[in-house]
Amino acid sequence: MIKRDRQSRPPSEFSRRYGHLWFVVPGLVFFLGVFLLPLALAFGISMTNWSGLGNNVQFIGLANYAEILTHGPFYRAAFHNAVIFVVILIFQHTIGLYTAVLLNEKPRFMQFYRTVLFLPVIMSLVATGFVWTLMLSPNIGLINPVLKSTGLGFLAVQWLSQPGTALIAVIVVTAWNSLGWAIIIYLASLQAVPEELKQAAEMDGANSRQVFWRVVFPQLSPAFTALTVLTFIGTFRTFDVVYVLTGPLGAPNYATDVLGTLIYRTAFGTSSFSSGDIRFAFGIAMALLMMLAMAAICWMLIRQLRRREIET
Amino acid sequence: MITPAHGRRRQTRLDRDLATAWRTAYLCCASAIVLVPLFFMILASFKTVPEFFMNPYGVPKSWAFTNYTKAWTDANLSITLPNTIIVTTVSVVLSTILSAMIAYGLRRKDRRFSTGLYSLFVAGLLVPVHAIILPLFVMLKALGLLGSLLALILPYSAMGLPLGVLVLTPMAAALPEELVQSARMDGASEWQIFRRVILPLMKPGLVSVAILNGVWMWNEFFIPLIVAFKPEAQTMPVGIVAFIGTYSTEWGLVFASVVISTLPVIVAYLVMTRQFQTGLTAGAVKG
Amino acid sequence: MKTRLTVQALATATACAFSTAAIADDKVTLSMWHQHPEWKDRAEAILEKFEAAHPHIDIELEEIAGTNYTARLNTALAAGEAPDLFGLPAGPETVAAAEAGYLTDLTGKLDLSSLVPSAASAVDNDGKVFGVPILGSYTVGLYYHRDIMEEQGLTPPTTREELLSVCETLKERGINPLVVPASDGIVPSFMYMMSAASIMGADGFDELRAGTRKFTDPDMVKAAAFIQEIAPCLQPGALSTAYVEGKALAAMKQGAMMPGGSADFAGYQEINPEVDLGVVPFPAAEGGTPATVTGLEYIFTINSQSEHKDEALTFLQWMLGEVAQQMVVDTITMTTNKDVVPTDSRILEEFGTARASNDVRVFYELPEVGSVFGAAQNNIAALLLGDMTPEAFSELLQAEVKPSGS
Repeated sequence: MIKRDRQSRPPSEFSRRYGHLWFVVPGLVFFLGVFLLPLALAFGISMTNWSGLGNNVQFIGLANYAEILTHGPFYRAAFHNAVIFVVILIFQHTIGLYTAVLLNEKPRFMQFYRTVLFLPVIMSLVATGFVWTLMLSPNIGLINPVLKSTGLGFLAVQWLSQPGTALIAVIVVTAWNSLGWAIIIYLASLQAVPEELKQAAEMDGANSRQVFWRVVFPQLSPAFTALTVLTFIGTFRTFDVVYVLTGPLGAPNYATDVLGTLIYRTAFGTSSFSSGDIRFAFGIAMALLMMLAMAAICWMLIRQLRRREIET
Repeated sequence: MITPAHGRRRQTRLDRDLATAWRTAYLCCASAIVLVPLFFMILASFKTVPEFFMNPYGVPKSWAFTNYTKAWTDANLSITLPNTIIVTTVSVVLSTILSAMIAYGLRRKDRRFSTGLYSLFVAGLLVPVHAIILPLFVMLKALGLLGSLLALILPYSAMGLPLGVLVLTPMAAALPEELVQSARMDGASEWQIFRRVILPLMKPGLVSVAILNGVWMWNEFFIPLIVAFKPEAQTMPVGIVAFIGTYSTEWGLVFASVVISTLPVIVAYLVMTRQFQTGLTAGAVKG
Repeated sequence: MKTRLTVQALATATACAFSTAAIADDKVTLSMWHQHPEWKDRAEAILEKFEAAHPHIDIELEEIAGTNYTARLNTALAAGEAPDLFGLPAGPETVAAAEAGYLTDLTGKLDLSSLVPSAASAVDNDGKVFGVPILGSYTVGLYYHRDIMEEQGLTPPTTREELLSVCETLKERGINPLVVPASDGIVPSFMYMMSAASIMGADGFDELRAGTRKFTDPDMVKAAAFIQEIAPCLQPGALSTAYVEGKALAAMKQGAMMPGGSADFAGYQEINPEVDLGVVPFPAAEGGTPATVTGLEYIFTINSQSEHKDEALTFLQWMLGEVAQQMVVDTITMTTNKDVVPTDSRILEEFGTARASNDVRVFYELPEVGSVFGAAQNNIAALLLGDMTPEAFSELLQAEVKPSGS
C-alpha cells in the first residue's frame, strides 16, 4: 500500500480507486502482524527438525510434510474429526432445523426457549467439558446411576472408557455445545421468509407440509451454507472438549484422538515424564498442513453450496 | 407478525392441540437437556469430596460456601479478574471497531481488492494458534510488550477480526448505498459518514460480534498461558487452571471456580440477549 | 460514548503496564517455575523459611500443571524469557538444554557432598552438573488400604499369582482391587516399569542399556503380559480416569490398592485425613522379584541469562541443606540428602523397605532408554485393552532403545 496525500475534495483518481482501503489498513496491519508474519515464521520452523528444546536445528525442506502423509496417527485423528463433523452436521440440519421450525411457530415462552437453547454456545468449551465430566465420568458421573435406578441399567456403560462409545460421548457433548448455532441461524432465516410467498402457495392449495418443503426450505439455503462451513471449521478445530473429557492422549487408546490433541501432543508433549518425545517442528507442520487442507475444503464447500443456492 | 393459527386453516382443532402439546413437550425437553447439567454443576460446586460419593445428586447436606471463598482467594481472582475485564473490554472494543471499518471498506464487491481482502480476513478463522504462538511470542518480546496487558490485547484484537469481518461485511453491504451518497453530498468526510451513518445502523451486528469475540477472549487459556506469565499480567483462565491443578482432587472447588469464571459471560449474555440474537442472525445468514 | 470508553480503557491498560516496573529496591527477586501445583502450600512454606534466612532474596514461585509446563517452558526458553530457576527432568532434556546454552554450568560451584550417591551420579553428565535435586526423589510402589485388606483377611500380594488371586477375591466381594488412573498412560507405564524391573533387576537394566538384554527377550515379554493380565483388576472406567481423579478415588477408599509414588502420600492424606495406607513393592511378574522404581523429581537449573546467578546459587545450596531437606522429607517426598531422615513417617520407612527388595531407576532419566517411557505411555492402553499383544508392545519399546555401545 503506497501512501499518498490525504484525499482532497473532489476525489482524485487514486482515492476513487483505493480510497475505501483507508478503512481496511489499520485492521490489516494488526492482521498481518498477528497472523501472517507468525505464519511465515512457523512455516520456516516447519521445514526443520527442531524438537523445541536445544539448538539442534537442521533445514530439512518439506520432509516433515512428506512424513505426515504416511503418518498413521494423523489420518486416524483426521478421521475422528470427520466423523464428528458429519454427525454434528446431521444434527444441525435435522434437530437444529426442526427446533427452529417449532420456535418459529411463536409458542408461549419463545423468548425463554431461545435464550436457554443458545446458552451452551456462549459457555467455554472447558466449562462444557467439566459439566459433562460430572455427567459421564466413570467415578463421579451422574448419568449411569440414574439409568440404573430407573431400570435402564442395560444402557449404563462406561461411556468415556470404551473405545466404541468414547467418541459418541465426545460428539454428544459437542452437539450440546453447538446446536444453539443451528437453531438461532435457522430461526433467523425462517423469520426472514416473506409471508406473501407462503400465502401464495396456500392459495394454490398446498398444505402446510408442502408449503414448508416447496417454499420455505429453499429460502434456507444461505443458512445451510453458513452453518455447514462454520460446523466444518468448528469440528476440525476440536481440542478443548477432548482435552478435558478424555485427556491429551485421546483416551481410551486414541479412540477420541483428534487433530487438535495430536498436534498439541506432538508440539508440546503430554506430561512432564515424556518431554523427550516432543517434535515441535513436526507438530507445527501438521498444524499448517491441516490449515491448508481446511482452507481448500472450505473453498470447495462454499463454491458447491453457493452454486446450489443459485440453482434453487 | 404471524399468528400461529394463520397458516393452518384446514387443520382440525384436535390436530392443533396435539401439535401444540408436542411442541411444548419437545421444547421443554430440549431446555431441560441444557439446564439440568448446569444445575448439577452448580449443586456440585457446593459439595465436599466425600459428598460426591455419598450423595451424588441430592442437595448438599452442608453447603460448602467456602468452595467459593477459597476459589476467589487462591485463584488470585482479585488480580486476574480486573485484568481479564480490561483485556476483554479493550480487545472487544478495538476488534469490533476495526472490523466495522474493514466491513465498511470492503462492502462493495466491485471495488479493488474487496473480495480478496475479505477472504483473507475470514481465512484467519482457520489459523491454528498452536502453530503461531512461538513466533508471536518472539515478536511481542521484540516490541517490549511482554509482562504488560498489551501483550494480550494486541493479539486478541487481531484474532477478533475474522469473525467481525465475517458477520459485519454482509451487513454493511446490505445498507443502502444512497445513505452514503447523500451524506457525501452534505459534505461529510468519509470518517464522519462511517461514524455517524454506518456505525449506528450496524449496532445489532456490532453487539453480536462483541459478545462472540468477548466470549472466547474471556475464556482464552493457551495464549495467556504462554504470553502473560508475569503474575500481575495474568488473566482468569490461567489462574483458574493453575488453581484446578492445585486442588484438582477437590471437585467442589474445581466446579466453584468454573462457575465463577462462567457467570460473568452468562450475565452479559442474558442482559444483551435480544440485541445479540437479532444482530448475529442478520449477519451470519447473509454471509 | 464508545470512543471515550476506549480511550479510558486503553489508558488504564497502559497504566497497569507501567506501574509494575518502577519498584526500586535492593531486594533481588528470583523467578522460579515448577510443575507441581499440588505442592503449592508446602513449597511456599520452604521458600518462606529461605527468605527469612536471606532477607535480600525474594523467590517468586509459579506452579504450572504438568501438561502445560513443557509448552510454556520450551516457548519461554526459545524466546529467552525463561525464569531464573526452573525444573527439568534429569537426563536427556537437561543435557539438550545445556547444549543449547540455556543453562548455567554448576560444576564445582555447589557443594554436593550431602547427596546420596545415586542422586549424585544421576545429576552428573560426564563430569558436568547443570541441575540439582532440591525437591527430592520419589519411589513408586503399590499402596494398599491396611484397614480394607485386614477386614478382608488378605495380605498385600507379592507375586503375579497372589495379585491375581487377591484380585479375584476382592471382586467377588464387590471391592475394586486396583485403582489406576490410565487416561494419560502414566501410571500404567509405571506399573510396566516395575513389572519389567521385577524381572531384569538393576543389573539387567544396565545390560539393557548396553544392548545385551532386550525388552523382547522371552522373560521380559512376560512383564508386559503381566500388565495385560491384571487389566480386569482395574476399576471400571480406568482408561478414562485422569490422574487426579484416580488419586481422589484411591484416597476415598474406592479400591483396595493403587500403584503410587512417595510424593502421592501427602495428597491422599489431604483428601482423606483418616486414610490408613501401607506400601509394598509392586508384585513380581512371572519369575521375578517384587520391585520398585525410583527417580529424581525435576532437578533445578539456573538460567544462563539470569542476572542474579549468585543469589540463585545461594538458593540452590540452601535447598540442598538439612533445613530445607527436612521440610521436603516431612511434607513432600523422599530426600536425596544422606544426612536427613524423616521425622515421623511410617510410609517413607515402608518405601525404604520396599526399595531394598529390588529397585531400578526410571527409564526416562537415562539417554539410552529416554524415549522408552513415551513409547510405553503411548501404547499401554492398547495393551490393557488387549488390542496389542505383549510381544508387539515389547517390540515397540525395544525399537526406542539406543544402546550405549552403538
